[in-house]
Amino acid sequence: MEIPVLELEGITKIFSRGYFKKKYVIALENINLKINKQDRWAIIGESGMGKTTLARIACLLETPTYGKIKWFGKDILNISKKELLFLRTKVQYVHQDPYASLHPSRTIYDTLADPLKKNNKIRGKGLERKVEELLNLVGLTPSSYFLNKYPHHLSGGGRQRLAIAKALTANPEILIADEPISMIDMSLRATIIQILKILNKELGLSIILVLHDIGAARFFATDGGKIAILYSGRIVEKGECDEIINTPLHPYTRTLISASPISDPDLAQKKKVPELKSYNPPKRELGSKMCPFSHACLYSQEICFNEDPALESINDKHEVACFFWNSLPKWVPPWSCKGREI
Amino acid sequence: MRTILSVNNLRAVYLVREGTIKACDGVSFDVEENTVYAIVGESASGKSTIIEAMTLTLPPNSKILEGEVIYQGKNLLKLPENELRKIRWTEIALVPQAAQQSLNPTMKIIDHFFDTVNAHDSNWKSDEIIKKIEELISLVRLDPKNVLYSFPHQLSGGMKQRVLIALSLIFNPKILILDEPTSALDVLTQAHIIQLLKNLKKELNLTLIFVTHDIAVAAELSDRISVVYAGNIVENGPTRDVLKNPKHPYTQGLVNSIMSLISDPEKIKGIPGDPPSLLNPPSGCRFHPRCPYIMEECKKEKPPMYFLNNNRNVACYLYK
Amino acid sequence: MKDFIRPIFKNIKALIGFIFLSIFILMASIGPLFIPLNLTSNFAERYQPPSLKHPYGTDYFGIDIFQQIVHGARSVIGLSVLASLFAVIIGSIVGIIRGYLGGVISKLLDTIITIFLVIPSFPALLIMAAIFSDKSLNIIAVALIIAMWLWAPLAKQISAQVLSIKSKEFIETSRMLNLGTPYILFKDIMPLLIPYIFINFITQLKGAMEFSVGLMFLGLAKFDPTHWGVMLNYALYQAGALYTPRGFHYPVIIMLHIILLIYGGILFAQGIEEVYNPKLRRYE
Repeated sequence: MEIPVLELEGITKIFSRGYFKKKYVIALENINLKINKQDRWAIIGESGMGKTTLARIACLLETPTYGKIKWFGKDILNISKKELLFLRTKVQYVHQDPYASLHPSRTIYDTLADPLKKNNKIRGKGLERKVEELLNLVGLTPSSYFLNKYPHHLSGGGRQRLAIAKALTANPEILIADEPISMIDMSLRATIIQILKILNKELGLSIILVLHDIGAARFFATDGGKIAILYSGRIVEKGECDEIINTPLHPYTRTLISASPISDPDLAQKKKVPELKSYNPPKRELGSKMCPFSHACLYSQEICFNEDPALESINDKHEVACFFWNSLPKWVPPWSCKGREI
Repeated sequence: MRTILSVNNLRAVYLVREGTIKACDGVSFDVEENTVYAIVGESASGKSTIIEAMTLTLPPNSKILEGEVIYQGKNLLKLPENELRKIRWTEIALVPQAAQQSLNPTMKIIDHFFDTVNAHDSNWKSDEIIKKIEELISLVRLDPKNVLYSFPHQLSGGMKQRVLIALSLIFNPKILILDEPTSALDVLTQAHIIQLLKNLKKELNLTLIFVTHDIAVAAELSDRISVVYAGNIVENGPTRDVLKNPKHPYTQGLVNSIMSLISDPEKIKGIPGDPPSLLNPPSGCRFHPRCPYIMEECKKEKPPMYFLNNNRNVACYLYK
Repeated sequence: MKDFIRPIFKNIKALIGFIFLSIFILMASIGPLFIPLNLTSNFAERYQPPSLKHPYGTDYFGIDIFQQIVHGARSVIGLSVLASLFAVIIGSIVGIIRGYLGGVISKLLDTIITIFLVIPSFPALLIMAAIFSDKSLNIIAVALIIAMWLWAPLAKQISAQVLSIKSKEFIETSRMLNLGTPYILFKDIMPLLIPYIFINFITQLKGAMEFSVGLMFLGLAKFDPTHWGVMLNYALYQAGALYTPRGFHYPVIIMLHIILLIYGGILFAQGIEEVYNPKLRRYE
């Protein structure tokens, strides 16, 4: 039985404000995720749904209020500082904003050489070679051109590549990327996702991608990758990407897919806009039980407002958290005209 | 169909410490009445500059070098201020991006409307104005009682965008110019705004011109599309044709790089290289460093617009 | 580094300021080597207007003003530079520690910084003058006393800067890559602060100069008759130079030098600020 490289058990994160009259915001609730070696995961959620918090907790940039984080089987909230220091480099994070994650007055060479020196203890010619190798890996070629340039000489896409290269200097086994493409031009986004796919395939990295663009998530996780849909801090659907995209069961997932932008003018104009009962999730009280999507769901019934739906396994590739997944109407993609397949 | 607005050879630059940014380099297009026209380009492609030049809202460090914007037989760029005021907002209105600070955070929404009305010295009575405002807010599917007396920060991005659309419609303009109407909005809200614009166009007989970086929005909403790269329009034509059968290598690359749920994952590919600097753009055709079909002449001189059938034109030597 | 130095000289304000400052620094450093100081009074030559023999004329006692100015430059500038240097060092260290560390230490430092910010400096100096009036203090001690009232604003600003840099994403990545706190402090944070500290050093020079002149007036610092502040004191209150047109040049020339020195510093600082702010915000 393979040990998952990263496991989240019952992760809950509650933000509180104020000293006397505390205000609580439940950012994440009871998140369970198992990432295996060389997995490709895409976690999809819109803004404000908790995906950044999830990404940051997974790589310990923030601590959960409740729950366990396990890296390579070890509960990292309860291990010695020395062990944590050793494991730390194995889980790396790529920020959303490529303009802020690089030091503005350090050359590209130094940006990569400094962590390489620290983590791999190489010097001189070996160091130069490794820097160029990394630059080539992320597509910043010819590498010799970039060595003495600064981050502000690169485009947004270039900087994000550099940020990925920087994360690779520590020889990580897990890479967590938080919205790596949302601040990059459209024509460069596919390239960044492609780089991540290559890193997964050829270097064996387990990659967790957190984003709101379901199309990009599919491009990343199709053919063997897995996705999880986040709504209001809870995972509402989880499983193999192709399975979920072809047969989405949770009403929210269906809404997301229906609203997803299509670039084919014929199909785009046929698209029907999904209607919801409301668009703003209500503030939930601590300890209240209800389906987070109940306020907006067209199929919600009384039980949805009073009980928490748990994640049920439909088959070994698909889990959904909805009381009525079995009785929803059959899913027809809103742009389909006579069975056009995805 | 009648052409309602015509842009001819518009050239505008920004003056910065390091030199001049040649943001808009000879842009020409015609917009027909009661159609939706999309200008698609990536960030820093100069697409916003086109809008800013057309509506004369360019920042102070920019200059319009040449070109004309013909509306009702007059060149808007050369009109005196008093005549421009008659057209601005009453016939041509601008909807800015909701993401930017387009609403005054210290004023209630209804005050924004009053401000706009008063600035145009119309002699409407106060209750007439309120009635009209409430109509408009309902038209954009918002609840007047909630929205009108709130401050901008109390509204979500989607609501702000709708308020801006309502604000632009207050004098029943003929042309609505929108700057990135759906950026920074989440997917569901985007879908709704697009639906709203479709309905408004039909109900009010509007002509829409909008700028966006999102091809999907253009695909859904527009009849005609112009693709902008580095300050030049590289392709022009009916949306359906341009997106299903793109002719310019950049348009082809752009369409292939879209990661939508219906595209074949095997075929999705980004455009290699980086967007060019508008400070020192490449010689000749500005796309040539990234073009898979590059020829010698591409480096030397910028290709002119070649006219293809079906009302399309492409600026590429492949179609000489 | 070169990237930082060349733009300074392209900026006009910085260049002019730098030229002014250099002239005075030259005056202070090598001037006294060339110009002997002769403080014997010669009443026959009192209040001579500027001439070839006495470029700035003579003062109430018939002593050549030019040589006094040149020698006085040493104590004026030396004291100001030292005081400013101490202020910047203390301010930076306190600021960085307070900004980087959290918890009790930062709250404690905050209190200390606030105390020094709130106490009005000149009355405090008065009190210190009274306390130390019987001791004679060397230049380092005086510089330290001046620095005491100059370091607090810098510490507050630096701590604010460090706080904002600390939350930037590239600091997080340095931590995740196990680069260690010394690396983060010296290679991530410091380079971004250095232009800032430098500008502050120049602006503090002005404050230090004002203080040193004030201290002379208070008698707190070692009495140096060539110090411009002392000369000015004599000129205005003892020599009655303002009451006779013949003595007009005496205070005016002294004041002119003080003004030009401070103004040169200000121009330089403004020029540097112009250079660094757009640069730090540049996003080509």
